[in-house]
Amino acid sequence: MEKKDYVVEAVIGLIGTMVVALALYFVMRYIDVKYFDMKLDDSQAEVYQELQAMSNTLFFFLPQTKWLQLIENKIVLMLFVYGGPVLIGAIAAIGVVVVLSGLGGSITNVATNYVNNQAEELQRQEEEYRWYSHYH
Amino acid sequence: METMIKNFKTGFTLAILITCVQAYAIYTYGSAITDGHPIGYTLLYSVMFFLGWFMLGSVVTGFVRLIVSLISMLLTR
Repeated sequence: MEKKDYVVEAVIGLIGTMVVALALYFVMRYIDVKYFDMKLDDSQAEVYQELQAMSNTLFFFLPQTKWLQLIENKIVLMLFVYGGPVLIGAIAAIGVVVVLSGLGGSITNVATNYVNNQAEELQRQEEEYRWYSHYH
Repeated sequence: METMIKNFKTGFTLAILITCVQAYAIYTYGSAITDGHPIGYTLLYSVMFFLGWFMLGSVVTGFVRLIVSLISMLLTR
């Protein structure tokens, strides 16, 4: 009876995972087609060649037979659907950071500024502690 | 619900591992894609597929978990 419960839990978890994954897939596909004009038709020659270059790179350890290539292209197309908005969103986030931080702070200075601020804070705390231990 | 969270955790680990292998693959064998571009192009292509591998790995982990539980149920009957 306990083993049967494990199977039921596994089925429920699989269904939940697939529902989340498929919902995200269709949302991403809608964004891709509507806002970024992504071509998702596998049968067109241009799209097929681009996918071919990417799948030959990613699955360099597999032999290049015809049916294997078709499956690889489907996987790479799915990965592109998931990854397109993420990539463009990352570029947009970098642009937003540059715009908001202005001319004074470029991206390469963010870590340096953080470290400097931390060092100033530490120094201030140390001075307070010295003052405290001197007079009490 | 707990099994779903376990699936997503395992999928996240798988996605990190696959992203590392994929960055090596694009850096070494990806001259058809990254030819004539700076190194940031390679890095962006490596990070771009992370969400896809995350979801794919979660679903595959769910299938493997189901198969393992079925086998254990059949063996201990």
